[in-house]
Amino acid sequence: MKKLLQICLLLMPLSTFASAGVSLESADTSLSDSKSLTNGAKLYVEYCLGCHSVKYIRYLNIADDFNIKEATVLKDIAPEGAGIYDKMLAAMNERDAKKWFGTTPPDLSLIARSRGADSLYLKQNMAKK
Amino acid sequence: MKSKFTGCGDWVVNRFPLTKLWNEHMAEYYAPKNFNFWYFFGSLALLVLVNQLVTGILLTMNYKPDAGLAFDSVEYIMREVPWGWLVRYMHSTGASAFFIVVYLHMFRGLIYGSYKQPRELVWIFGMLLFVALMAEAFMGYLLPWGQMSYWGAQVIISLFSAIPIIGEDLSLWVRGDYVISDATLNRFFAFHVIAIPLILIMLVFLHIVALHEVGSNNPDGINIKESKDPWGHPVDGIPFHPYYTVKDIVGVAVFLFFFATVIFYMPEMGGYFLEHANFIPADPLATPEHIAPVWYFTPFYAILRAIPDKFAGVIAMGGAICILFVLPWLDRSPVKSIRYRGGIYKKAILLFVISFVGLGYLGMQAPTATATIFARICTAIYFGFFLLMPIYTRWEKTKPVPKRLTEQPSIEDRIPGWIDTANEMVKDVPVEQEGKIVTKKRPDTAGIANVLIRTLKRLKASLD
Repeated sequence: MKKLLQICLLLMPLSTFASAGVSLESADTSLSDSKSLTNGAKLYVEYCLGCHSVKYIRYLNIADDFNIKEATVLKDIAPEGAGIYDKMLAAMNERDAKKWFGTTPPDLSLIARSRGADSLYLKQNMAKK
Repeated sequence: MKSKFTGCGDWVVNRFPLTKLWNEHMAEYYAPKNFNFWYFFGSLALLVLVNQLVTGILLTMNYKPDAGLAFDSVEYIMREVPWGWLVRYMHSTGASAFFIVVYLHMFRGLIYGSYKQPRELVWIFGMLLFVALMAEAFMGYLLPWGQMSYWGAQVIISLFSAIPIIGEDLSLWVRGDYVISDATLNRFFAFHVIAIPLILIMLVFLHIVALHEVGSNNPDGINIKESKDPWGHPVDGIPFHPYYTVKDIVGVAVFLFFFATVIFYMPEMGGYFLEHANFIPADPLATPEHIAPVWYFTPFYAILRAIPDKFAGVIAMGGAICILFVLPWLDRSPVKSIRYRGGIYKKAILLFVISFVGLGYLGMQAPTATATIFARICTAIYFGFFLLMPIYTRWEKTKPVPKRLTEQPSIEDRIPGWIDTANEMVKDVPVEQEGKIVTKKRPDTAGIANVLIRTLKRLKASLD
C-alpha cells in the first residue's frame, strides 16, 4: 500500500508540473470588468502594439466585447487615424521587425490563448524590472 | 380515391426497393432484446460521423488550404464567420468524441466476443474503419497549421524514413517536400475532405450490411436465431424499429448533454482536445519544447517510444494496430461473452485495459527514464494479451451458456440495494442543536469498512 502511494506521488509531478519552470503570478483578469478591460486595451495600444500586433481583432470587436461606444474606442483606445473596422496591426512592419529582432514579435492574443494571461503578466513584470 | 401523394409514393416503390430495405434493416431486423449500455456506441458513432460531415462541409466553405493563409482562415472562422466558432468547436470536439465512442464500441466487441464467428468480417470492416478514422484525424490535424499540427505531422511522417532502403524516398513522396510544407497541406486537405470520408462512408455501409447479414451479437453471446416462434421470428429478438431506434434516441440525448457541455464550456478540454501549442502559427524554425499527439493516438505513440530502435518501434506501433485485425482467430474460446468466460480471460482483459489507458497517459508525458520503463511494461502487457490469447483462451474454464437470453436486474431493481448500503455506512448520533438533542446521521467507520471489504470481495469474485 505504501509503495503504491509512493508510485502515485512519483507520477503526480509528471502531470502537474510538466511544463511550468517558473511559478506564475495570477494576472487577476476579469472579463466582466469593462473599466479594467478598457484601461488594458488603452495601455496595450500605447505600449505593446508598436511591435506586437493583435491582428485578428478589430477595433469594432473591442467596442462590442467591452460594451462601450464605438466613438469612445476611436477617441480613447485606437491610435490616431485608425478606423473602427481596422484590424489592430502593429506599427512596425515585418521587414523592419526581421532586421531588428530577427523575427516578427508574436501576436500576443495568440500567446494569451496558448499560454494563458498569467504568462503575459509575468513577461510584462519582467520588462518593468 | 387515391391521393396524388400516395400515387407518387407508389411510383417510387414500384421502381425502388424502399419498403424491402426499410423492412430488412429496420422494421423487421430482429435484434436481441437484452442490449445494454454498451450497445449505444454504434449508433452514436454514426451520429458523430454525420456531425463531422456536416460541420466539415461548412468549415470547408471558409477554410483556405494554403500554408500562408490556413492559420488566418481558421482565426477568421473563429472570430468573424457568423457561428463559425460553434461549427469549428463542433468539428474539433467531434473528432475526440468520435474516438471516445469508437474505443468504447470496440471494447464492447472485446468483452462480448462480437468479433467471433460468424462476425469476423464485421470486425474486419470495423478495424478498417478504425484505421481510416485514424488517417482522417491525423490529416485533419495538420489543417489548422498551428505549431502542433506542423511538428506532429513532421514527427509522424518522418517515421516512414525509418523503413530500410526505401524509407527516405517514401517519406519524401508522402510529404511532397523535404519538410512539411504547402504541398503537404494541400494533399492532406484533399485526403481529409474527399478521399478518406468517401472510404469511411463506404466502410460504414459494408460494416452494417455485413452485420445485418449475420445478426447482432448480445451481452450473453448466444445465437438468438436458434429459438424461433411459429412465425419464424427469434423469440428473444425485437424489431430494431421502433424498439432500438427509441432506445438509441435516449442515448443520443444523453450523449448530446456531454457533447454540448464540452463545446460550450471546455472546447480545449484542458489541452487534450485542442492542444495549447496549436494556437501559435506553424513555424518551421522553432520546435515546441514537447511534441505530443492528440490523446487518441497516445497509446500507440507510447508504444513507439517504448522501443529503443526507431524502425522496431515503427513496426511495434503498426503491429499494435494490425494485431487487432486477426483477433477473431487468436481467440480459441468456445464462449463469446465475458459473462461465461473463465477467470483468466477476465483478468487478462483487466490488465489489457490498464495497460492501454496507462500507455495513453504515458504517451502524453515527456519521456523520462521511469516513464519509459512503465511504457515498456504496458507494451509487453498489450502484446501479451493478444499473442498469448490462443494459449490462455484454450485453457480457460468456461461457465455453462444458457439457451435463452438471461434477464439482468435493471437500475430500478438495484436502487433499494444501494439505499441499504448507504444506510449501512451511517449511524445515528445524538447532537445538541439549539438546546435540544437531535439524532443526526454521521459516517460510521465500521460500516464503511464492511461495505468496502464486501465490495472488494465481490470484485475479486467477479474476476473468477
